[in-house]
Amino acid sequence: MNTPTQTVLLVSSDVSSLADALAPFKEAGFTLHIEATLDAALPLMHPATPPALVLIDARQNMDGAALRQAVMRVLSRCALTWISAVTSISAVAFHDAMEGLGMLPPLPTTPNKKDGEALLSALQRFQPKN
Amino acid sequence: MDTLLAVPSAHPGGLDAGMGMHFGHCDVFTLVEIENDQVKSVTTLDNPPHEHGGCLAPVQMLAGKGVKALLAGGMGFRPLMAFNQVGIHVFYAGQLPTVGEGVKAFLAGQLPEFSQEHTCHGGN
Repeated sequence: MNTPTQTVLLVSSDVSSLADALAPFKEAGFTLHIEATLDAALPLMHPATPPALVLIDARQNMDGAALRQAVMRVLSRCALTWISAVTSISAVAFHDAMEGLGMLPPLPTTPNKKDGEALLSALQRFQPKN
Repeated sequence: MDTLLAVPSAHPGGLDAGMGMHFGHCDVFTLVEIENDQVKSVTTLDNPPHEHGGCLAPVQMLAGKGVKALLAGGMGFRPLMAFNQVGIHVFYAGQLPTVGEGVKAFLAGQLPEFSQEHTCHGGN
């Protein structure tokens, strides 16, 4: 069985604004890997060694439909990873746009450490217990 | 054909049970061992508790049991991709009322592959 690695793959060109939200993952022992674009990140996703989390920064010019397409590109390559997004899309619109994709809850556009802790907690509910 | 087939089922499972129309929310899985195009054995497997985003639990469980094919009436894009990536072929059987009818159609080669168009939200 393919087991997720302890890697968070962040797709963003504005990492500094996400530092607080990512701190809990670093504290929990996750390795952070950053790519500016999804095109650059996709080759790093291997079905045999899926990242624990792919976090897509959708704050710039990415509506629900565009985010859905991005998530589907990830899943087509590596469906055993978990995915979340940083987005301004409302909770209802996010739920509707992401139906069937098994997304973790999104982060707000200016996420803080508590937001990161909540996402980490959601992720850990689905991780294999050793 | 020799394979292990899983069919999402209504309680209590088995060939006479109703199909579970959405695999993630079905009561049980009926596991059908097929040897030389004949049903060799029928067992059932409880579906793990389902929560939002938890569609991978049954994927992992069925892959671990050696399942090679699955019949389904509905599922999301993510579990469909996951089944494909762990080597389980998914076939669309949403129009069939019972597990036995689904197995019969599978053995007759009458079921189409479950495609993106069959997924919840149409996959787009």
